[in-house]
Amino acid sequence: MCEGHSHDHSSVEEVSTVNAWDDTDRPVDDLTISRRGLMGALGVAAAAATLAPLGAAPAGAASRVDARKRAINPWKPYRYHLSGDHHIHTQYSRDAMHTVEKQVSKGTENGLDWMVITDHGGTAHQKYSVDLITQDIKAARATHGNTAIFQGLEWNVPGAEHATVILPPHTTTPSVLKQFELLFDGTVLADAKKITNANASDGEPYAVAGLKWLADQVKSGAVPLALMFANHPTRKGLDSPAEIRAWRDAAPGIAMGWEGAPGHQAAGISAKNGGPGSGRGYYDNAFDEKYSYEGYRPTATENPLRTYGGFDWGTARVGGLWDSFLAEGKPWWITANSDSHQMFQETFVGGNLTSAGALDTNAYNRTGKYANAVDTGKPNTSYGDYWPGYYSRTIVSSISKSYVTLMKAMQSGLILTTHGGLIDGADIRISTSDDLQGVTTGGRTFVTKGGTVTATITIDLASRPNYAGFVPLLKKVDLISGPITGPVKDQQTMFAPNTKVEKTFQVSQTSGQVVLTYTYKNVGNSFYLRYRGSDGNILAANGIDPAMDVVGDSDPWKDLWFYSNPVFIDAI
Amino acid sequence: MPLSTKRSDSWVAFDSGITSLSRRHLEETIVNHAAKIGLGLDWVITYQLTSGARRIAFTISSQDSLTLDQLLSDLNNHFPNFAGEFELDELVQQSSSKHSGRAVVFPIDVDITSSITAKELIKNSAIDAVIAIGEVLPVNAQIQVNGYLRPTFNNGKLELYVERVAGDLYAPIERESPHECCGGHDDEGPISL
Repeated sequence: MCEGHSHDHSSVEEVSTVNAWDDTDRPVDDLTISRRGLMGALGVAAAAATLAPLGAAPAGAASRVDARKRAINPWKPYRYHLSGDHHIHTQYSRDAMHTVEKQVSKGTENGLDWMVITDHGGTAHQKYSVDLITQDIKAARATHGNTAIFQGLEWNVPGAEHATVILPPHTTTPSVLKQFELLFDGTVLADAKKITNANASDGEPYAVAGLKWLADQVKSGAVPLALMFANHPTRKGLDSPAEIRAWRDAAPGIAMGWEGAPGHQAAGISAKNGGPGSGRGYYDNAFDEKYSYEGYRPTATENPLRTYGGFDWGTARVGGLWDSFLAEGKPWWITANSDSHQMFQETFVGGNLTSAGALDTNAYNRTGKYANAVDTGKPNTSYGDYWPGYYSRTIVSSISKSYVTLMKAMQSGLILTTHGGLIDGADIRISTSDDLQGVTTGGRTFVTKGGTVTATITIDLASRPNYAGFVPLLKKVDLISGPITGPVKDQQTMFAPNTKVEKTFQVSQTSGQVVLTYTYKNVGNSFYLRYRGSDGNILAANGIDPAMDVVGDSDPWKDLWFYSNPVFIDAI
Repeated sequence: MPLSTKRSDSWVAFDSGITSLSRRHLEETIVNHAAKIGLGLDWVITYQLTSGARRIAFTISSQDSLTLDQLLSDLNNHFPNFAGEFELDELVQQSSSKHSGRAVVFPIDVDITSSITAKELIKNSAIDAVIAIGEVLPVNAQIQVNGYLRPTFNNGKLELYVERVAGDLYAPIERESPHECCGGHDDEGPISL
């Protein structure tokens, strides 16, 4: 990553003319409220880090310190940059087939430092699988000592889509997972006739209650920490903006974000190229009047139920749903994962098959597990996933490799997402005329009104071929920013119209390190910023944004992007 | 609770309530049963109800009011918990004015088993426009229909949204069989009334 390099070093500096955002009508207290919300959300560790710069002041002297001058996630030159994947299925999912050991070995082979095993929730999984997975994960930890292997769950969020739930290793982890699944998994609840089905709206209160329950487990010390990231959020239009906000606000510090990019990235490879010819990410669904939120209805100009440049529409659209959350000044982080079930062109099939060759779910339902996958020697063209670490990476910057510290880094938004090895990594440092050290992603800094904010991203360009066999070239980087306008009144708000691409940097360098700097001068109002970059191969008509992926013909290796998480800047 | 319905001269609207059946299987249940009892359907349109829980409502237009009554009666017998009084008056009006909704059954007189041009489709069906999302549809673009069309009303016009799938080939954004996921969202399939 970006620590202390000097080779092939180039720098681009840009200076903005004036910060024109106008939120002068907003009472100053709104900012304070936002910061309090963030502090609560980031938990004790982040709060401690936040207060570290003020540590010289004794506790009793707090009133003499300007509480608005807070720096969360202060920039540091050295952290571990740990690649991982929080969405991996095994033979304990009724639509997957590989052993825990196989998935972990492949992920490790592909360079991952951490993984989360997230088999689908369900009655058989709750009843049989969790204990079996616990043993398999213990064995994998013993075999792969340098890899953090978390036990998690792909939660059927009642009334909504799926979500990853992550717990650190702890004696109570399996029992907490089982209890959570029994009480709050949409499929388990539907099987028990407590809700109509996993997607139906009558499940929505259970989702919020489930997150509060997880928060209670952390508060009570039953588990050290728990995290939730919503998966493939707009795939079917199930997760309404109000539901997502309800999760976020019900469990600050637990419900931390969503998959900015879904898995199944090979699903859009055309049949003629040996792929399933579906939608990239399996995003080929239609708006469904029965379950989809009205705001996701396709229009003549865009379809929220498709990926754009491999990323979920909610993340890819500038001024879209993600930005509407960030404009509130509250944390909501993105990740990128494999969602690996059955891998593109692999030769294995499930260990229990029907006469038609499909996975025999009856066998799964009886035991919560499929027999080990079988090698047929024949590449399968209907599989649309990649192995963990093969294409998608969630890179977490952590001060240690311990499980809980890694989770706290995720909780704090110290996360970068990349596809296809587009870049090796990036270091983001946002400093101000008041905070010279600055902060990094997921962080929050401050600037006196009229001051300057300097945004610097140091990118390690791809130094090696990716798994498609070529060294990707980064062609452009977008700096995106928008005003922080405080909590929304309408919980279904799904756009932030004043968020825009502030600056597009063209990158001509092909190796080494690139430093891109942009200065916001005379800053008048609080704002946030984030980065994304692309190989420039496939862009929308405006030449800036990602294009809607073509169902049935999307080669993921020809359309590579990275996205950073945001930094918030309070103008005080 | 009986099936909640509203009627106008030529339309009947009903609320499917909160049911475990998917939209697709609800549609198949209704259309299959209409065929079984010999009911000719002119239009079947779906709507999203937003009062209370999200759910789907149907409006149906048929010249055969007696057999339509039988369909409703059969639905009522099988779905005694169909519930809801919301928005149905408005839906009857919207069906008459073609204001909004998604057409499952609509007038069409052309072979749609494979591909067709937008021009042919518009000429031979109630569809008023074919719109490519995010781009201008080339004049001679082929639409890969594969026997399945679900156009939507927009302010009086019946529009079919399509997306590019390869080269100049386009396909409706709603497919009959999108990828099915996953570990637990299945329903029981269409039912026989």
